[in-house]
This record gives sequence, structure tokens and C-alpha cells, in this order.
Amino acid sequence: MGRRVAIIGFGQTHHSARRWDVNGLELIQEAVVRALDDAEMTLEEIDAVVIGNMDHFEGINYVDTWSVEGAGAFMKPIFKVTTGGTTGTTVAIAAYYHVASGLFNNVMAIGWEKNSESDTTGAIITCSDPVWDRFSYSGAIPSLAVEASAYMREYGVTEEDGARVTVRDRGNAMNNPYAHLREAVTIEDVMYSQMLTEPIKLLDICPRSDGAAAVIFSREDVAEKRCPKPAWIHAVSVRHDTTWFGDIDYTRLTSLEGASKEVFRIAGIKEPVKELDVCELYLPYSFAGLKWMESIGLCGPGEAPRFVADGHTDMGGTLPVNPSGGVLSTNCIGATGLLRVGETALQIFGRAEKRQVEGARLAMATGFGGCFWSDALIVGAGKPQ
Amino acid sequence: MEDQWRRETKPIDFEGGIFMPYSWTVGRVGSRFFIELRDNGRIMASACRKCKDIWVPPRMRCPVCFSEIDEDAWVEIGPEGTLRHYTVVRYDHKAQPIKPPFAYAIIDLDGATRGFTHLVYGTELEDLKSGTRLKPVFALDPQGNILDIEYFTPVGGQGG
Repeated sequence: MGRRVAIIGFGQTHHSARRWDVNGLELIQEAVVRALDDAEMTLEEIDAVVIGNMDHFEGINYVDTWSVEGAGAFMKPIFKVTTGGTTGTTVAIAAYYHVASGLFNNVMAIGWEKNSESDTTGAIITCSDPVWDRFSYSGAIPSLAVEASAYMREYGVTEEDGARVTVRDRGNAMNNPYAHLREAVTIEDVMYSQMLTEPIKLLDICPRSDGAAAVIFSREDVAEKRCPKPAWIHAVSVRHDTTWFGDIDYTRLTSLEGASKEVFRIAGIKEPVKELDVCELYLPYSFAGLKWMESIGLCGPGEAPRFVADGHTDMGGTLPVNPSGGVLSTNCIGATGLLRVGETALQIFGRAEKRQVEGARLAMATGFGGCFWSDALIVGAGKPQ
Repeated sequence: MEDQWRRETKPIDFEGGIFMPYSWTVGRVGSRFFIELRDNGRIMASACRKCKDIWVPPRMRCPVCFSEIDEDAWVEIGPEGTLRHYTVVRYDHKAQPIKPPFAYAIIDLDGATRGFTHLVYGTELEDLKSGTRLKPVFALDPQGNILDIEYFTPVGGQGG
């Protein structure tokens, strides 16, 4: 059993399509400085850094070494963890492991991306096996489109059902001063946006953003002394399915099912919709906001369209999802999962301002990557058992 | 924040790129699959005796239980199959093997228990549906790679 760990600080950049004013290192610095300020901590107190981004997006390989002056890691232990889309949640989980092991007091997790610097599809297809899979499913969109079409067929789900998720998340982003896309959209906007690969249209899919996030994990006594409302880590889980696209069961997201069951078990959560107060879910496209709700166990198979349409996941609903505007509003990929974790911590701190869910005490964050793998975390105001 | 500076300045960016040729090792198992495909037009799969799964392409070890799969446990599957899931691609990108429109599909080849990822076209894409019977169209000049199957198309349709 690991030691108790809490998040005591979170910093993020102002995200946009291209941050022309800063290079990658300076972008990272912006998040690091804000996280330290948020925790009222000095850099000297940070014992170790775990950093991550997407391979190939910036064409820089040993990002741990390259980023030292961005991360403030001069003469500190720093290493890179990169797991595709889940990179941001994985750096969080790795930082948690560091502190939970008892070997470190305060560890900073950093996720970042300069998505503007390369071609996202060209970079992302390197996640697929070059001999067997790369000719097909080039980039992130087609495999998600196959998943969406499988789900729609199984349960008679419509494109309008999917559009409601975009409308919700993009509307929520209006409350988040850091979000990349801060313009509300309607169901009609989504329906009439350009068809990319059926049924995914331009407004069903996340943008490409420049941005960074930093989250500080501290051991129990430090957290209690330094943070008025620490965001305690109650549970974490990482689950991977098979390697190749052909082997996936597209009617389920088995990795997210597995990760969710695991964190609910560890955290003692029996009825997630009742017990959770807020979720920040890695939903990179609209239909994920339906099907993956079911994978998590927030509603039964085929029930998500009704659950979302009835407003249960809206701000003020039974279980608000993505008060930040989520991935559909901001997607600096290496940072995206860490933004989910940081935003849940912000909710527990009670410092989420216009996007605050009143009285939030228990929150869930998830991460998603490429060939359908998943991370999940539970963060809470009460100390874990 | 950056607004004033952006109004006054045309920022500088530095253009560059990396082109890196690779020579990927296909290995003994994969080579046997591609040689069968190239020379005999046969699609082979490997059967895990423990899981009873029929994996295509074949593997040295079962992806689920990790037990070794004997090369004697290979079976011929397909070449026809059934369309399980698909998406019709409408946007163009240089990373894609051909120009749109075409479909990326998960195909249940006859005799396999796991899906096979490939392209579908040579037909009215609007008429495709899950359950459509498909046949492969083999390349005229096979090279020993996955595009020795050029694409799949409906049985009885055009393009074969």
C-alpha cells in the first residue's frame, strides 16, 4: 500500500492554436511558474520532475534533457514518460507513484505540446505498427469514426446525439479563461460542419492546441501544512487492450471499463453517479461523450444519449462533466490528460471560479490514447483510507 | 498578454523537417504470412490453442495469454469475409494510402475470430452496411506487404 498523496498546486498556460510568443521551453515555464505560485512553493522544494509530450510532434526526442530549463529541473531527477494520448494522465500517475513510494516529498508532473509545430496526423500515425497497421487508420480520426459507427449501429444513436456533447463542452469552455476554443456552438453548427470521416464532422473532433500543464504532488504532512484543501489521490489505474486496430471490440471500450472498475473498487465507490460530484473526462470526440460514459459505468448500455440530453452532465446537473470545456475545447495532447487531473484538483480546492461545481468533494479524471487504452484517477477532498 | 506584441510584430518561425528512411524487420512469422499472400494469394492466421482465438495476421505468441503459437497451428482463413464496422473517409491527407472517398473497415474474414483492418472501395460506398459480404482484390504485382491485398469490395459487386 502506498503512502497518502495529495495535489497541492496546478498551473496551466493560456492555450491557443499557436502560441507565437513562446517556444516550447518557455511554454513549459509558464505552467511551472503558475503551479508553484498556486502551491505557494519554491522550486527548491520540488524533489523530482516527470515530464511528457507526444513523440514526434515537435521532432525532439530526449525531452527530459531538452526541457530541463523549461521544467526548472536543473540538477534534479527528471525523466520523460510518453504514452500517446494518455501521456498527461500517465505523468500524473507516475508522479503519484514517486510520492506514494515514500522516496520523494514533492514531485511535479508536467505535460505539454506545441501541436502547431508539425502535422498531427503525420506524427500520430507513428503510433501504428509500420508493417501491419500504418497504411490504414492513418491518424486519430478514422479509428474513432469506426468506434462511433459501431456504437451508433448497436444502439440506434444519431449524429445529433453526438453533437450534444460538443455543444455542452464548448459551452462550458466559455467559463474557462485558459481554454483554446471559447465560442459556444449549436447542434446545427456541428451538423453542418465539414464531414471528415463518417460520422465525424469537424466540430465532433478536438482541436490542435499549444499548451502546457503542471501539477504538484506532495506527501501527506506537506499537503496538510501547505494546502488549505488538498486534493487527495484516492485511486489510479492504467489499462491497455491489444496492440492492433483489428483486434479491438469496438462496441465496448474495455480498457476504460477495466480502469474505471479498478478505481471505483479502490476508492470504495459503489454508485458513481451519486457519489461523484464532477468529472473531467478525456473525450477527444463527441461520440466518446456517449459511449465512454457507459464504459465508465455512469449509465447502462445505450442509455448515454438520453442521460446527456436530459442535462444530467450539464453544469448544475446530477454529475457535471467537463466544466473546463474538456478536450473538445483544448487539446495540447501531451498536456490534455494532465489538464483533466489538474482541473479536478482545482474543483476540490474550490478555486475553479466560474467553472466551479459547488461543494465538489469527489472527482474523476480519465485519459485516453490511440489504440484504445485508458487511465483513470479518483481525486477527493477527504483523506483516502 | 501576447496581443500587443502580436499586433506590432511578425513572429519568426524556423522551417525544417526530418526524412528518415527505415527498413523494418518483418521476422519469421510475418514473412511467412506475406510470402503466402504474395506467392499463393492465401491469407493465413494463427490459432491459440488455449484461448481458441484465431489471430490475423499471425503472431508468435498469443496477445492475450502469451502462450507460444506453434507454426503448425496456422490455418488458412478467408479470403472472403463480412464487413463488421467501417467509416467512409471524406477528407484528403497525404498519410492516407489513396484519395477519398473510400472506407476503412474491420472485416471478419471467414474462419477468424478477430478482425482484419483493411480498405473497402470499388463500390457505391453509400450501399455498404455492417454484414456486407466482401472479397479481396489482389494486387497485380504483389510485393510481399499488406497492400498485396489492394482492397476489399462487395462480393458480386464491381471491381473484382
